[in-house]
Amino acid sequence: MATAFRADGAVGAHRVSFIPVHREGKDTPEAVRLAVSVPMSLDDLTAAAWILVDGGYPFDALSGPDFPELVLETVFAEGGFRIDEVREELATVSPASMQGQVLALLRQRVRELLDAVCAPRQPQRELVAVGA
Amino acid sequence: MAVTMTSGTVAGHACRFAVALRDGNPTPVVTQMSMTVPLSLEDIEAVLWFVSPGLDDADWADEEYLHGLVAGTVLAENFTAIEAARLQMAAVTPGSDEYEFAQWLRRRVRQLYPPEPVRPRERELAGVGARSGEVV
Repeated sequence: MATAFRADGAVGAHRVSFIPVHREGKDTPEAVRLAVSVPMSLDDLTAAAWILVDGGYPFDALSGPDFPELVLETVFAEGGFRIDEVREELATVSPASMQGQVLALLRQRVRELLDAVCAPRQPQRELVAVGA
Repeated sequence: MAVTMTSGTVAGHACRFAVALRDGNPTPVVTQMSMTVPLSLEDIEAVLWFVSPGLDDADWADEEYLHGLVAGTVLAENFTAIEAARLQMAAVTPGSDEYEFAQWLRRRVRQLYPPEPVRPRERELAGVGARSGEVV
């Protein structure tokens, strides 16, 4: 049975809704809501993106407005221990290897996407101007 | 290496818990990821069943700790592990010690997360209050 449950989330200031993997195909009713906030590094996000690409998600499709949703869904589905494990594995990859080159491209892509979805710096400049 | 704690709520109960992916993780934090996820009572039972081997009586009595444990475990573990716990819990043999514990765990989860009481206004609309005339 398909379920209409979706979860709400945000990466930085960018809000998304995503399908929480544990609710797929379940018909047990929602009883409570769990709300959490998790600090993420660029390497944590890259590890999540690596899991996606490693699992067959096309690198070129990893872009634009879907990115935060994909990463949230992946972090939730895989769990923090797995993300941490992959991050540690990636830290040992030789930059000269084929894998290392893909990783560098992926890391660059994640950084660009993160810059695009995270809180704009504009308001901070305004605050500084007001204070001055 | 310091363990990063984060805060969250489970059914509106505030809790703090250690973030698995920041445990011994030296890479600098650049953003916050937040999520609000629906859970069924079965989901919570499976999570607590999964971690139950490591819990003692004092842990089971500490509601704030249990809220944090639910949040931290949902974030740390992958879905497959929790799903396996759910199936294992559903398959215990009636009459066994495990079965007794599963039943106890289900009652504990319902104490922790009781169903929302039906408010009088809704009872009236549903015709319940009108028929019995009982005082809520």
